Amino acid sequence: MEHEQQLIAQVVTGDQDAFAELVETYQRSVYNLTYRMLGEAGEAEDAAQEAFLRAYQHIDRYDASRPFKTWLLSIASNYCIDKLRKRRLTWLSIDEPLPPHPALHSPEGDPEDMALIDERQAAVQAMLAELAPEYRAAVILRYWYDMSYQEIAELLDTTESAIKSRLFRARQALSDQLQPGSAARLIVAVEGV
Amino acid sequence: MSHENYMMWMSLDLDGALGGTQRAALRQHVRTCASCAVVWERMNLIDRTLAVQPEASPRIDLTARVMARVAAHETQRRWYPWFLVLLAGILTAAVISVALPLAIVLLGLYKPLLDLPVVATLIGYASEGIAIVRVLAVIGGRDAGRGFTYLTTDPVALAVVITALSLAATWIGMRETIKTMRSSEPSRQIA
Repeated sequence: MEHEQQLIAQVVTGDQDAFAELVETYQRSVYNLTYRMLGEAGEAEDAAQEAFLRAYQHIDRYDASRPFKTWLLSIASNYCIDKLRKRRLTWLSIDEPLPPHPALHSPEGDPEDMALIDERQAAVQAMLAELAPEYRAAVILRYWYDMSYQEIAELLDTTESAIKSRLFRARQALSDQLQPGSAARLIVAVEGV
Repeated sequence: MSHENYMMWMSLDLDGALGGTQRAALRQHVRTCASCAVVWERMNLIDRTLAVQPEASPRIDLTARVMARVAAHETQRRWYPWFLVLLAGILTAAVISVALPLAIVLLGLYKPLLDLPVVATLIGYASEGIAIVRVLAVIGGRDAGRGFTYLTTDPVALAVVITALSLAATWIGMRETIKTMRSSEPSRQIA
């Protein structure tokens, strides 16, 4: 943590190597968020780059009392929410899943297992794509980053009760749309892990 | 209490944020309400599914790409004010070079202007400049040393050369600045 604050101080003075170290540390977290938000690997890579660039440009606005990771993720999630709002949201049916992420494939292994992994990933991304951007962000931060209501609220610049409500609405929407066929796929997804 | 409220409790329970008494009441309700039991089962299924998802990794080296964009941003930031000054200067010179002769011709000022000694001198210099360029072209490679001496001792010839060099430098500067600005745009093709 102290080393991280030292790196940030160096970035403020224009040290690009220090920033490269921060990017290296957090690239996976930021990318996972943009990928789960946008659902497409290429777009997620661009969004992650943009989030890091914005962090670099506005590093002087970073509040050292908050974790740097939270600040970075808030930039990335705000960028993705804006992007999703701007583009006309394509509501994908759970029966027409997005292609699975290439980096989530097992490099080796049984083709049947790989097909199962694809199936799970496609089902999960299709589920997320059903949600409004603000609900999606809350779900991703809750499940992939294990954040508390308070942390999510700070990150998304809202209140804890709004986050409780968003998570409830998101879960309600997901369970409402859960058809018998897709439910069976999810059961396979859970039990197969 | 409404079914909606029980569903809210389900969500809170999945996050571990429901008190013991409320949890017991929720369990009791789910046992006796078929529609809430279905929702509870589905919410649990979604919760279990999301809880075991892996973190996605980028297919590319994000650090290299981000740092390429940071470097482009820094170059742009350093040169942008100069680029604006240069652009403003060029635009001003372009406007003056068009507007001034137009005004002189339209207002009929060219006749009295031609009588001014300074204008006559300038026209003389211009003619001399053209003549110098011709001479330089002749001297060219035959006697570069003499040409250089002539250039450094004659103010008009020197002015012509400096102007040409300035124009060339402006052109190169603008071209490089535009190239830098383009390379700092979001792009997947940065190697």
